[in-house]
Amino acid sequence: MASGPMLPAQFADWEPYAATWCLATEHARREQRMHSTQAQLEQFYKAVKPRLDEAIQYLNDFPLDDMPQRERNLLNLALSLVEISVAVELFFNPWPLDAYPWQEFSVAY
Amino acid sequence: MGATEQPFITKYPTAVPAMGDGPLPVAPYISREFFEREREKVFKRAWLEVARAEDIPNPGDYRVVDIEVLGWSLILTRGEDGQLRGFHNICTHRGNKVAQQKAGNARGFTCGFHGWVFGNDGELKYMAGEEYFPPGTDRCKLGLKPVTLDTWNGFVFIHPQAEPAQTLREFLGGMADQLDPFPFDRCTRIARYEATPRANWKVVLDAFQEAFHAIMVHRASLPKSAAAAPNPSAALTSARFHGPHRSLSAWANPDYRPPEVGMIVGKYGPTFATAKDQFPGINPNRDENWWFDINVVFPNFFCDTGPGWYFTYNFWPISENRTRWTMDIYQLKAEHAGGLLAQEHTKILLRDAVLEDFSTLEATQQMMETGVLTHITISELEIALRHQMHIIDQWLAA
Ligand code: FES
Ligand SMILES: [Fe+2]
Repeated sequence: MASGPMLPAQFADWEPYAATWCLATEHARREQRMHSTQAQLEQFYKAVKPRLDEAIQYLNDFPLDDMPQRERNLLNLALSLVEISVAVELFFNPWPLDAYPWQEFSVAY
Repeated sequence: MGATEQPFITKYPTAVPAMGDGPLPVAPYISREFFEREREKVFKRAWLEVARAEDIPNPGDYRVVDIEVLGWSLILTRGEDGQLRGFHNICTHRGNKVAQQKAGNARGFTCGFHGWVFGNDGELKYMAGEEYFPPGTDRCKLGLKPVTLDTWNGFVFIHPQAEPAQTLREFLGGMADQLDPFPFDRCTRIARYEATPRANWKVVLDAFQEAFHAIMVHRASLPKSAAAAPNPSAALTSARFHGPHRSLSAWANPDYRPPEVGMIVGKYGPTFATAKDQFPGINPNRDENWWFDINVVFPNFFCDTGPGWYFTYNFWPISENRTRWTMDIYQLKAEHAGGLLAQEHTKILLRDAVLEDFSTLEATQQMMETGVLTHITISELEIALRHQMHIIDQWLAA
């Protein structure tokens, strides 16, 4: 785990989730979602969702192509929240029930 | 729907071909003999979408495309002159493959067998052992074998015939007219998915050319968005027939609101769950509660469009019961983090909904193959399936 803080100071309360969820690719975020329990996904969701809008407004001031590392981490954490939001809000399960096996479905990015 | 309610009416702005209303035969989905006829009469005679031009942007860039149904391996390459060309990936000496990598950048291709070298314009540049070949062997006639290739709005199509009966533009006809205003050139690919289900290519394709299944298959991912009073069966809001192609507009429940994260990110850009905006090249019929357009380019390519995004499917037959399916999602470049998160929401929801779509394919194929059913019963909600079989029958008879 990184020694210093991974996230901007005003989002310090999300640090416990940073090591797990600051993931740079859809592939990595999907894998993390699939290898989490529903309880873990719900805990992450409950912690981040209430201030998601605040985080977006904070990040919107930074250029997408050239973000400082902590802001980039924050964006990747928010992307992870989007990835898992459907599991919490719609499926009530890490993966859609009655769906095609996710391992058979390749994700290129 | 109660017996007293009026069914939701789908609009047909173009002429509906006389296609009958009987059940459709199961044999085309399971028969090897039928598949062989499709290979000869459909896939060997149609323009086939194989890439985006931006996949091969610079001189020397190339990409190898395998087309199982034709048994072909092709090299798409951009020459030093900027021209995009297609060649069979076969050395004209004794037939080895000349490109070994799937993609790259090279001025040419050196065959790994005896070292003949071909330029990325196809010409045979160096012929190892030239002095030992019989007199009259003409190096100029031993270039890579070209394949017919054309592009439309950056979509690269090949044609299996040297001289197709129709140009690509003629073939696309009204479908191209409808889609031409869409700014394909301003979008970039943000996702690519691939799977190889054990199912006939039409079983896979059919799962994506009607909205009816949303009431069941997507009851978790998109509840109440595709169907609600006054349209409880998710009838299409409109459908157009453009020769062999078809374009279907899905209906959206105007009262639908996505769950919380979708609402939050939806403030910063269009999401799949909240696609209401006007945009060029979409909603051709200006339908009121329009959701998105399902555009089926015959025989095996989809280009589905919405405000600021589009996604494509390719359904590549491998055998009568095996299909290689790919999905690509393209979006306008996000301007800030909020826009990017809205795009991510679109992508994730689409991806997981497609996983639901896939849940029925292999079971359907397996049960069709029992022979218990000789026909499937088709409603107006599934008019695209009827049109597809109607067109395939025409091509097989021609
Ligand atoms: S087969 Fe290519 S050089 Fe001989
Ligand atoms: Fe679907």
